[in-house]
Amino acid sequence: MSDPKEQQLENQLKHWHQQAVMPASLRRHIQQQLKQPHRPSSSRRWQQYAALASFALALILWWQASSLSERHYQIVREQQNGHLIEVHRLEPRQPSVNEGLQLAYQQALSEFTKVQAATDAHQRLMYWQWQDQGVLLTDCQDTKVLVQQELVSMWLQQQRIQLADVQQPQWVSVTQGQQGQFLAFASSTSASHCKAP
Amino acid sequence: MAWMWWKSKPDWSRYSSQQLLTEYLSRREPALLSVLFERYGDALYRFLLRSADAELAADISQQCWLRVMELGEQFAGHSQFKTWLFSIGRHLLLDEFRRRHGKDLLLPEELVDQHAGPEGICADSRQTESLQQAIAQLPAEQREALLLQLEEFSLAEIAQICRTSEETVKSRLRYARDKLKQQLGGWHVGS
Repeated sequence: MSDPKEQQLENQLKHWHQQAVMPASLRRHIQQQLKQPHRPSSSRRWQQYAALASFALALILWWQASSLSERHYQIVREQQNGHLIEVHRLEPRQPSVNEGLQLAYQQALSEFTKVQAATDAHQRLMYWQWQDQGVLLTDCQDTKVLVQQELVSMWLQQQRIQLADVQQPQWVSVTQGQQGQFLAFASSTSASHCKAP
Repeated sequence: MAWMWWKSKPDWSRYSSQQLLTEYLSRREPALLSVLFERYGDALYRFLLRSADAELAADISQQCWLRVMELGEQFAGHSQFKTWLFSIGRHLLLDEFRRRHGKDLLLPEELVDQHAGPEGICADSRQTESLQQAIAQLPAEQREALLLQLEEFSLAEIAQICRTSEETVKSRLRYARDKLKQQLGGWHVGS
């Protein structure tokens, strides 16, 4: 910086630079802004909302997954219009219910092919009809079994059957486990020994 | 009682910028941010005004201080507050340039004469006008480094703000000053 030209340039630069002054109106405006209460920016708010929504979604998915896994196959007999009817459905797991039996049902459902091959499974010919609450199955002895829609949907999904293929009333061959639970069904045409309900 | 309250108020002007920001983040007291603004508001505005037009400089100045309010927690303390503040300002400026012009910094011809007016430089001085034109003719990176040096940033701090190496900054500054001396040789000799 001993060079006089260098020194002169430096002085000129500083002088030029210092001439830029913030307008008073802008200074007041920024000061006012700084006095406003702090709020998260819109982008930060959006990020917070997104995080909250993701958390909520994750919670819902977790709840759905856990609630599905916590359901068990239930068979109950009910009186409907003076007729005894057997209802098959998926129910939330109750702590008081026999845990071993529920486990057996769930294993049987998920390992359909194994269970079908097992000796304790047997087949039964039944007439398939859709109703409001699900599917009504009627056998040759006029025993009626109502299968909850959710359970039917699970069967269809497990056996990769299209809903359109089972819309019409028809005879089906139903595979049942030792406890009476339905394991699977298949379309059947051999219903000559009894009449359709 | 009022006297006691007055006595208990700390003298913020004696605090370092980092301390002020830390206090502001915990208390959210606007007075703390005002002290920071009084310290660096003009310097930031000067840098922005010398890099862009007056309207954009004002706009970025406001945005910059809002960012400090909102993103103060992100200040890690690895640099001086002023360095961090100028980094924010430069980042916002480049974003705006890219949005408006599709490029990082204004070309020399776009900077010439844009600072004329009561809030710009004094155009009465022939030397000042020549200097401004010579600076405007500098490549953008060299001009930027020179402006930051005029704000008394060290080579390391300029490198940090511009996200480059100290050697590159040193080289840019040397080229910038050599060019200015060449271009302004006429009036330097004559003055």
